[in-house]
Amino acid sequence: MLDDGIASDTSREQWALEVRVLELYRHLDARLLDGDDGALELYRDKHAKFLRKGLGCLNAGFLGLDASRTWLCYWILHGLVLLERPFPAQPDRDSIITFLASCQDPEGGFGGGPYQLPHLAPTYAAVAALVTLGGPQALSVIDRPALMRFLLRMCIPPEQGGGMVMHDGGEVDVRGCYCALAACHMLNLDVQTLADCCGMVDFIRRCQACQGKSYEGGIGGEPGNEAHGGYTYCGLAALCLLDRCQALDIPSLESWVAALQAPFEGGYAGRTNKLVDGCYSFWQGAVLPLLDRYAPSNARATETRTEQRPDQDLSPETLAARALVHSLAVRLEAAEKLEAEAEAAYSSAVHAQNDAAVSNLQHAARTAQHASQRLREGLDRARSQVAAVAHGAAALVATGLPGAPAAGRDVAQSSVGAQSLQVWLLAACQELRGGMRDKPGKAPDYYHTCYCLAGLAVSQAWSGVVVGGPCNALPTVDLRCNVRADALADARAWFSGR
Amino acid sequence: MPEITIEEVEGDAAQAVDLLSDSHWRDLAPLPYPPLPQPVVEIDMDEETALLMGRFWAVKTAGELSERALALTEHIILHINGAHYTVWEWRWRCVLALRGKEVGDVEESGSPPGVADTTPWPSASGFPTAVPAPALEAERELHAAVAAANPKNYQLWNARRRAAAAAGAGALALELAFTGACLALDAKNYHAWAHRQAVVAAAWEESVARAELEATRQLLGEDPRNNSAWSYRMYLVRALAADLAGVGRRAGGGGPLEGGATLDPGSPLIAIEMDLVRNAVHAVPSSQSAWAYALGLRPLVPAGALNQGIAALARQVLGAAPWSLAALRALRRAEGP
Repeated sequence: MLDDGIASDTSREQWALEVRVLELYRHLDARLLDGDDGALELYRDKHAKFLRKGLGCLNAGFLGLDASRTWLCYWILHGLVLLERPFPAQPDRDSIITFLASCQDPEGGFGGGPYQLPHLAPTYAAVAALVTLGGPQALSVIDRPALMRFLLRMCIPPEQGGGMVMHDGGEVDVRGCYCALAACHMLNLDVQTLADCCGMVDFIRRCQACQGKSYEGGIGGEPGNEAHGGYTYCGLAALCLLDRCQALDIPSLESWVAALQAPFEGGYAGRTNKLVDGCYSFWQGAVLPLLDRYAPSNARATETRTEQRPDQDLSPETLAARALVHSLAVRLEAAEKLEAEAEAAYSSAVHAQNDAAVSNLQHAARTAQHASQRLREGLDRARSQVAAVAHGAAALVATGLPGAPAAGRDVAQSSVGAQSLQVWLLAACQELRGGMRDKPGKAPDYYHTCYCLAGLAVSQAWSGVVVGGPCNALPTVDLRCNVRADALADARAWFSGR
Repeated sequence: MPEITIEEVEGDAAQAVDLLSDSHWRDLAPLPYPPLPQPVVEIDMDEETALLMGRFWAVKTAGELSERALALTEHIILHINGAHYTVWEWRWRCVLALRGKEVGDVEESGSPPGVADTTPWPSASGFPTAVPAPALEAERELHAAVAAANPKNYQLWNARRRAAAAAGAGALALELAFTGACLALDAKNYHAWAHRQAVVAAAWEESVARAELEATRQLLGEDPRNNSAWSYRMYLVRALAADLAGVGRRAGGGGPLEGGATLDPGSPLIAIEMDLVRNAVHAVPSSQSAWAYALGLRPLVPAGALNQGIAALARQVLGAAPWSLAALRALRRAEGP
């Protein structure tokens, strides 16, 4: 990040992250230059081992997830099928299916664990987990008519604001719309009835807007809230499930999401001026592919979104030039201040006639020394910033990655974006001991492992590029439901006519 | 709002409920989880935790709304899992049942108009229920304790929203203080900002909005890159603009601008905002937030009226700070189709 010489909490946090990432990317760059094709390998077996361990017994540190146990099942099972690695021997399929069944409320829907109130989010997770397991035993667990009645009960009438409440007495935000519709779609239930019941299209549209007109372009949790990656995915995917994404201000959404891919790290942030996080590789990373599929551009029939990018100024050379100019300008200012302090110190020295003057001289010299120290730190920073650009994700992509088309000007801009994202995931989000993470410095967890892998799969499918080589290729993920496309097709076929 | 007195809480209920011993629980056995052939995502619990959770599930399954249930929910929220939505919901039902006063119609409940539509949810009791102030105060103490440990918990903020709605517009100052305290620890806490917007929208008054503008100005002074502060300010300004233009404004964010409420580009509201933008982009030209904000002011004035000003500002900034991609993007948007 170019901080314009003015630090704030935002820039300090960003800088701290960039230092960590730079270390990883420098290392990666060196390996790539050495011709090490394994430098961007996806550690399938390690991640599979990490995931499998979570499906059985978890330590008491997980008590905070006691209301999210169906989520744990989904994150782990989905992660394993994306990695194309087997489920553990224990717990067996029977146990997992029995457990998920025990989370189902007799009146419909699933809670986060047995006896818990049914809740839209664990409902989505339970359905997705069962669809991922697949087969009649798993799929027949779900009481579809009761589930639909539950979903309808969660609808808020349009005249009371619309949208859906997460559970009886719960909060209303755009996640509810998504969880409900995705569950319906996976179960081959009618999505339109639900949407009409709660004025869903209008609710989601208002979540993109602030008092009527879109502002940043992304979607917030509730009408008027700040644009946010997680809620953006939920709102957009829900509209895509209804074939109504045209209800959104699409150009504004596109430019918002494009600006949130960090040119240095390669990953996505969830909000403007916040840090990148591996999970947004899916929430944000799926936005352009969703728009491509469900809202193809009308203006240019032959071009797809993969060939247009609102922001064409992210070539490594441009970024490097910008960083250099910034660093020089900002440090020049500091140097000028230092010069002024030194001048003042010299003046004091020349005019020193008595003790007071000597004291002033000492003070002036001390001030000059501090200014000099700040300048030196600033110059160090500047050097690092320029290096950061040279080793940033976009630059790494330009040097040519294993598995990617040859570097050069004819590489589609979208492919640069997708490759940068994949570099971020493979170089910064993989924990060597297994599992994937938010960012370097954070511990891996099941949630991040799931969404990092899903983000990787989506990026590969959309761009046609598998960074790291064919050994990294992941199966196709359904963009709207985030389950394997083949599992979804099987489930919907099984439910049809039932 | 009519004065509500609570009946003296009698006998055992007034004493601390012993959650662990059998004395208060002889009539209700803890409910164990349904058996599984093999453990599945099974979270290890020590004996005490398992007993307490078992008692809670028993209470919930029996539909019991009681003092001991209420005490149990507090313990679970504070010491076992602050994100247990079922426990929070059960707690609120207990509060309504034990402390609340059911009222026959909306007028008697004393809730000011507009509060209700920020927090629409299916009512547990079926009738609007008034919750007396001391009970709400007890809830607020719980919220403060939970927020200290985890200020990003959905259940906390949902409970806060419900308690605020029950308290009515008079609770605005308390809510602003609470969100302010959370934001002091994390100036970008999404839940806190959403809550702030909800309570201000519910108790909307121009003087409140202007005070909030001043508060965001201070936050932006501390971190001009705080996009959440800019985003909240956009809500305030657009809502104020709708008021000034005499158009109806829907609590929480629905359409007067769609009807074309516009201000004069030279109006004080716009001028002050553009000044704020100017200061921010001169200080931190590379930050996206202020540029997005400037562009976001455009729907408030006749189409295109701000474009020239924004473009000129962008050019000026690019002259001094040619590295700013955010300025370049803003220039493109201001000049574009």
